[in-house]
Amino acid sequence: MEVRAYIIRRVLLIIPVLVGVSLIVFAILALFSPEQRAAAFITDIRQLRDIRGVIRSHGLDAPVYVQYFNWLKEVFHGNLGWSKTAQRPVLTAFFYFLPNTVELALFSAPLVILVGIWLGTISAVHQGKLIDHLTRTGAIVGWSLPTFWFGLLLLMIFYGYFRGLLPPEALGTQAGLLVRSEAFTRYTHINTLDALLNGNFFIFFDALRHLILPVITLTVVQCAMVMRIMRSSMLEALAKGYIATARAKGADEKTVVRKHARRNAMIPVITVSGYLFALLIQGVVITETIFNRKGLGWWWARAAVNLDVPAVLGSVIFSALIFVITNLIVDLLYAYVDPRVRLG
Amino acid sequence: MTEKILEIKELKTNFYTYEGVVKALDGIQLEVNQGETVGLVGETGCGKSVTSLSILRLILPPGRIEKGKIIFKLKQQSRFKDNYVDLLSQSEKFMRTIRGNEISMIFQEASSALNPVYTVDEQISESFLLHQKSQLYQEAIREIDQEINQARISWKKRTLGLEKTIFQALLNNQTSLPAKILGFLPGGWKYRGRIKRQARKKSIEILAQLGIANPENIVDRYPHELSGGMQQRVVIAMALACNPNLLIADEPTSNLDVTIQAQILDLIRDLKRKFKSSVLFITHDLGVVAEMCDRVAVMYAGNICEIAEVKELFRNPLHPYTKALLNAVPRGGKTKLESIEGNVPNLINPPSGCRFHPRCALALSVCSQVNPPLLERAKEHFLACHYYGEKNK
Ligand SMILES: Nc1ncnc2c1ncn2[C@@H]1O[C@H](COP(=O)(O)OP(=O)(O)OP(=O)(O)O)[C@@H](O)[C@H]1O
Ligand code: SF4
Ligand SMILES: [Mg+2]
Repeated sequence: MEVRAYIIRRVLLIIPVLVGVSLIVFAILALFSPEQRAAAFITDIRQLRDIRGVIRSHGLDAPVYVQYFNWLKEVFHGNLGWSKTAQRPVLTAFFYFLPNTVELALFSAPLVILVGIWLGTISAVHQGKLIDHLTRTGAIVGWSLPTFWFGLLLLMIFYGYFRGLLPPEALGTQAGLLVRSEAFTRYTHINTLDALLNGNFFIFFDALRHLILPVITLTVVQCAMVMRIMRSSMLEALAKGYIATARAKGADEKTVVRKHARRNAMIPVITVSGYLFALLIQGVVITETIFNRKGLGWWWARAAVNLDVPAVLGSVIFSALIFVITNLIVDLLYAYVDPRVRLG
Repeated sequence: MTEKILEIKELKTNFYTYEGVVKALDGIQLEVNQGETVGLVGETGCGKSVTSLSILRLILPPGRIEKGKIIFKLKQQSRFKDNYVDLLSQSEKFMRTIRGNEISMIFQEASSALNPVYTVDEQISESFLLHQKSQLYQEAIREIDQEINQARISWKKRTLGLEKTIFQALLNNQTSLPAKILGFLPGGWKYRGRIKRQARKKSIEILAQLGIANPENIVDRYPHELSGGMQQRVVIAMALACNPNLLIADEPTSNLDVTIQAQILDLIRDLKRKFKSSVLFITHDLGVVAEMCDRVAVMYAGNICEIAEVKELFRNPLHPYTKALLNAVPRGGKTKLESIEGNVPNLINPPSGCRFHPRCALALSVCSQVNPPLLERAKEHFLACHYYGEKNK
């Protein structure tokens, strides 16, 4: 009951957050002159002659707050505008690009959590041994690599020297055609999942092959971070009195580490997972752009470069929404794992 | 008539640190008889906790038990002669059946001794689940039998019957295939649930035996929801869960306020009588020793320097260090060990011979060369000091 009231309160809080986010975006837009913003609507060089007309027809010369309320009005009619980079309405484009990104996140997030926690635990349990030094060095390297740089490095290696082994984009040509054919039912638009549901292993492995490099690029930084936090909190937990108590009770080392220490050591990892998620969104933009994988990040990057205002607005609002929801989930999870935390 | 349940012989424990080898225990001799409370006193850092951890073989790297014998009498029938076993020569696996079952330990700080993310029930039950599986299975089977008798519908009887066969298989062989499958099978929760309910019943029982009001309520709380005194009671319940032969209490009342301290001490005394276990009581509070213990061992810098019955020790202390300790105690008021001249020796380069000689007013020339052996100088009164031998020549 208490939990439900908490969730309702948090969900209602999303509204002011979204309003705030949209206000910030409009404030940034106000920094541009009407002419600069009009440039975004010009698709043909001949329109330049009538730039005033373009400005007027899109209401770009009105005061910012008027533009803001016009935009709000449209939003309430379910119209987020036309994205010229996607050549689709923003909402449609969002759902068009979403599956590729969800697929990437679906493979990356569990990998980050499992590998990060696993390596952190191992390295803490074997503190000072070779395996600890190796994982720690790995984590420092992984953490210091900028995502774009690491992605480009992989790109260079795998497209330059091992051509065709791990190709870019989301699917190969042949698989792409198959996916679009009549015989293939698109249940979720997530390639790997649909391939399994259709029982088509050729497409499944092709999609998987295309996922490897983006997933590695996306996870390496976060894995390193989770691992480092996990290691230090695990070391802290292992030195606690309750660990000695567990050993004195006759529990074996596996139980001591997994049941008594790890549950406690997970708490700091959960607290930073909201931040991890922000990193993920940031990483998705870079990764999808590098590997030419047509997902939300790819679209957002192009929209930003091409001053596709409705798309940028939409994307900022979408990511704010996702961010708020993830934070809610993180808080609930936090309260579940740590009984000392009270929701409120 | 008194039966030894613990006999420590020549126990040496070192810690291999970067600064050097910490010679924490330098040949400890100590005995605990059945049903007796032995106090272990000494200044901070003299090796009391290391002694207790060595008994349970819980010395972790960089520490190592170098040599010695820890002879312990098991409560259950076993393959060992007269049930005496040298713990130092046993496997780690064997030690796990000892810890929490035959020998239990209460640690210095109650607040950190409980795991913050598990309920009281989960923590006490763990002891039963670790050491009394077969009893739990038997009780589960008994419970199923009752349910079968009450069941009206035939299919229900049949599923209960199946459950019973599973528990019987588990009872016969705890590492059997069904046990392994139940360990990770999602459906196994039903059977695990029944066992956990049995363990929970026992947890409530033990809390009730400790005189805790409404244990059904306490059992579902998390440690942070309990007061310091209640936390310590839970720790004690956890330690006594499997009715151990020996309870090691390492300063069980430090960090508690005085009234709670008195309550906890009363509790331990009562329980000792009720459970008929022996207690090794570690403290640096001589007042508590006088109140709780039958015999006392005085420790200095990794050595036992004097052992005697409580009255005898207070009336007739023989070791210069013990005398200094007793003189340092203001009678009546605060009874803590403090302010003895000189510094606590560093255990990496301890003084040669008798480790107390730099601080000893009576030191002889032999004292800095030969470590005095622990000898029975009066009836049941053991002493490690050259001066006494010289004086009575
Ligand atoms: N893990 C360790 N590493 C290095 N030295 C240690 C370690 N544990 C204990 N020691 C050393 O062993 C000696 C005895 O420590 P111990 O904890 O047994 O003291 P104590 O008598 O229990 O003191 P207190 O009254 O403060 O609890 C100390 O000198 C300490 O420095
Ligand atoms: S052996 Fe010597 S130094 Fe040690 S206590 Fe006795 S008299 Fe003092
Ligand atoms: Mg201690």
